[in-house]
Amino acid sequence: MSLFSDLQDYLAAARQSQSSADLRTATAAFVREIGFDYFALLHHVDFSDPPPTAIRLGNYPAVWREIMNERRYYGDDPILTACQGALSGFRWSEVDNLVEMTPRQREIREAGAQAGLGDGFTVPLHLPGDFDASCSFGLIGDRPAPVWAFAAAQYAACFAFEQARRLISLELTQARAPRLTQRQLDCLVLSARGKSASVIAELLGISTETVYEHLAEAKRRYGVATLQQLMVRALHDSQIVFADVL
Amino acid sequence: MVFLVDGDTRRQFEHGLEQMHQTRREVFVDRLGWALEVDGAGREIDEFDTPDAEYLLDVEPATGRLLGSVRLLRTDRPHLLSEYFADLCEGPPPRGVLVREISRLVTATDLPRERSMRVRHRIASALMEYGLFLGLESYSLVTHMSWLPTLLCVGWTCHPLGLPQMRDGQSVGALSIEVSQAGLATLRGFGGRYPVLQLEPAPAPVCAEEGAHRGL
Repeated sequence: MSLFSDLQDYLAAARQSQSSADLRTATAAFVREIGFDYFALLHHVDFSDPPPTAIRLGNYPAVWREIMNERRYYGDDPILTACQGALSGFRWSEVDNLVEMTPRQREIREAGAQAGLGDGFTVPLHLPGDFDASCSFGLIGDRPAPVWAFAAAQYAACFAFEQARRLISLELTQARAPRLTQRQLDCLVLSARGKSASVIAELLGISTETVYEHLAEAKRRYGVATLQQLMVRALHDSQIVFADVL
Repeated sequence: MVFLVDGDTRRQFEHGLEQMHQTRREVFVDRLGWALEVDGAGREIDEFDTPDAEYLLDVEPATGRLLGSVRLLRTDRPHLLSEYFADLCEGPPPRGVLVREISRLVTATDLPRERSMRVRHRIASALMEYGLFLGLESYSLVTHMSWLPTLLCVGWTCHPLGLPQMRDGQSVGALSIEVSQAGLATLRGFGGRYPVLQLEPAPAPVCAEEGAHRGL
């Protein structure tokens, strides 16, 4: 198995992941395969009060996570500062060349070393209209970072980030959307296809009154007054899709 | 509305193509500092901008202003990947009538960010619609890795063709974009849901030559 084929397998797994937890598992496995110990994919935001779409995914050693949270290190991490000026991935040993470290940043670096963190590689992720983000690949102990794997790490970072964005967007949409029952959906889809209530009633084997009740309840769940509004919202939330109604 | 410009319809889009070459210079040479050729009139034109090249132009309907553009090259002829970036592919670069290479994707420089993203999305959708129309399997492209998040967030399904390499201090990679109905559905899920590609040319001014019709 070559590095490139390992990467392709990982990208297929990432693409198929249905949840952030799945994505974390797949990424953690790939990261170990290419010679790192852990990864951290995150938006550069204040995690004591993050925006709802903020991504923070990884398997940092727990002891370091606690220190980061307690001492609020995330904002001042020199790695994040180095990302601002960098277009490509960089090795942590290069950070001294990229950033004039403040005493606090030096403190963070030392705390990391004491917690057992070693060498690493970070890929900056710039996306216009979104917060800056990065994906870091780290080692525990004093093994040197696998330089030969940096190229694959670049791709993994970008694809993991995109998949994490899609998953979080999906998770947010699903959390917000009112749930409709199957019968409510059936009535809505048939209505969107232009069927009258009496025809829908016949097709579903229920009474016309029941059809009206299903649609009324669906409108109530969405908090809207008209059928058109209901259809638009249900399509937007993907509870019904264009393929169903066209 | 996104228009297809090819050898047959170039004459009708002279103004659009002129804007395109100027915008390419503004973005790639002036802003990004790429070492590309610029002619005396400030146009960025390279060896692949031949009558065989196709372009998709996103034109603002009310004003005729060019909002964004991209170039499509046939891969059964010399193109960027085959001539200059073959080492970015693990195997041979994808070639043939079922693959086109896309390059020089730009948006007008004075657009606010959100509008620029919508233009990118429209061009991406038009590429998918055109690809399906032609029966393509995929598009190939070369990109700086720093642009990859922007490319992916449009909603394309991309596959690396090889590992990225360093060129002039920056990481570049070659990728393949799937052309499929599912791909179009994903794209449409991320933005505008309606067809954007106009294959018929806009009504042409009266032309003295053999006629602007494309035999359709």
